[in-house]
Amino acid sequence: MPLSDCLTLARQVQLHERTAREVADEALDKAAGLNDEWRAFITITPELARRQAEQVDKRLAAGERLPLAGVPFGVKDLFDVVGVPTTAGSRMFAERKPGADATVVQRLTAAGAVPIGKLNLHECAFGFTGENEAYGNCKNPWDPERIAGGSSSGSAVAVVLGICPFTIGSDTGGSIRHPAALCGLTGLKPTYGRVSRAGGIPLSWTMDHVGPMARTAAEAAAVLQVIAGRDEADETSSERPVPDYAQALRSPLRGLKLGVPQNWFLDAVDPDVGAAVEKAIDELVRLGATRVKVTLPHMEEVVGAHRAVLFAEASAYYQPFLKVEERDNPKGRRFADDIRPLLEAGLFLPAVDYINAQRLRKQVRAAWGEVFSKIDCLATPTSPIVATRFGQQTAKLKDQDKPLVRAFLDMTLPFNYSGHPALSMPCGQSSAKLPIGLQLVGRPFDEGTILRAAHQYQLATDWHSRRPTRHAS
Amino acid sequence: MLQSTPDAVEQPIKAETLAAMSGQLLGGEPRDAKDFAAVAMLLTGLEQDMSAFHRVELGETEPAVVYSPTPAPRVPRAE
Repeated sequence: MPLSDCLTLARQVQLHERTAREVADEALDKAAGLNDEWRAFITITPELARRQAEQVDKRLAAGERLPLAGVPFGVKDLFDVVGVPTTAGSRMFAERKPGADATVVQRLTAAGAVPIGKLNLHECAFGFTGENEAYGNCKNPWDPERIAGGSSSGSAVAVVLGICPFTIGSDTGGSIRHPAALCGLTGLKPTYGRVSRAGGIPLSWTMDHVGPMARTAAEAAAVLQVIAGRDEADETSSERPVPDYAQALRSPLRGLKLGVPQNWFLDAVDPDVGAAVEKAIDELVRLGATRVKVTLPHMEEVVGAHRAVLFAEASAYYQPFLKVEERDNPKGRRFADDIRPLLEAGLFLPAVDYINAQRLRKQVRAAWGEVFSKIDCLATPTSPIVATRFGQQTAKLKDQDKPLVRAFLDMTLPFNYSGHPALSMPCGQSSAKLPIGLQLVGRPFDEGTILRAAHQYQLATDWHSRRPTRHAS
Repeated sequence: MLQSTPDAVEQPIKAETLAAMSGQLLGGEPRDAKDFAAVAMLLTGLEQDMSAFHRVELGETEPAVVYSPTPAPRVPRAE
């Protein structure tokens, strides 16, 4: 049986109806029992979890109020937890033991949450399937023959399996939203600068984002409340005050201007996805939103610019590790054979491409700023297709075979490049009973609006509460 | 692999070219061309994905302030 949602659990622990230690033991049992089959975790941390849970119980006994009291969580194994290896899903970092917690982990534990382990991911967060040669393939609980999505694959699977109510992921091209969509969860990529990335292994410094994954927008909002805000350890983090997201959730949608794109996002989508997204937009309109047709310019150029930034920054970070491997082990087995070329490719891209991508970024922000001045948020599919089978390379869309990297990420990566906040929430199922995601994109630093729209939608529908048959109870 | 189908690119990137640069970029001796076959294929696919980006007119646009998702204050251009 899945653990309760994070808000209920926190209330129960705060009111001493259950102890944090009992909740942690239950989560640890589940994690241990399910991990061989699903590979959600790279490392499970029972001693750390029990120690933290006992601390939480003591703090509560001393009269503290903790917003996430005793709520177990997992963190993508890209973020540091003191004394536990941060592998980034790679053999290269298997021995890397950090001396301090990542800021996001510090803030969650300070709020009473209990870390139960480090979650599996696509190696180096550089991929979208969740396949991992070193630590095992993360399977989709809705169909174990299919990918969970990535790169935050374990972050999605641990929540779907009911091991913990929320997890932390990272998103550089869609790595929170994509697995959230494929696994039927709510996943939030906040605005660039809203959540500190300190203590995380980077992939692309100017496009990496950190955010929560959970069943509901209300839970994602509660986690964001704790992790958002300025951090001196991350110079990119914003000094803007953090609003009260729980308060923001309560407002009805009357008057909300909902942008519906007329280009790019609905050009080629699976019919099941197109129908579910259209129905979700209708539901948001029924709840009070006003549909506004919009066109986002520069989309194809943005895909290329995202590639230029991603590959250049990834190679800049990984070049020293590639050199170490070249020196110690020229045959290169610490990075997987399908990852090493990705890390090397940026070494051969012209510097002018990188600079021009940053120049285009300015034009894109200005042009999209015009669009967002007419709307409160934008609604799109998160992905034009549902979860694919392991090994599948292309998807047929509009009678054309499209490479999966284009199919899966073309709708999410533009908002890593622009920095806009975006979330994915479940909005339907395909004829094969696989989850479909709706992406909501907001104005910079206006996470409250997209969380509100998602929350109001989830009050009126039940897609977020559906579970795979094997794990339903 | 993060790549598109490279069929439409007329001038594929040569693994030999990359191998010749590899010693400088990765340290040690230059590697064999066969070690860069996957990178060459990837770069050829990237070229295709970046073709619209390469055609974009940027005029006198300066680079974005990287660490800000909102527009930076305008700095007056020198006359």
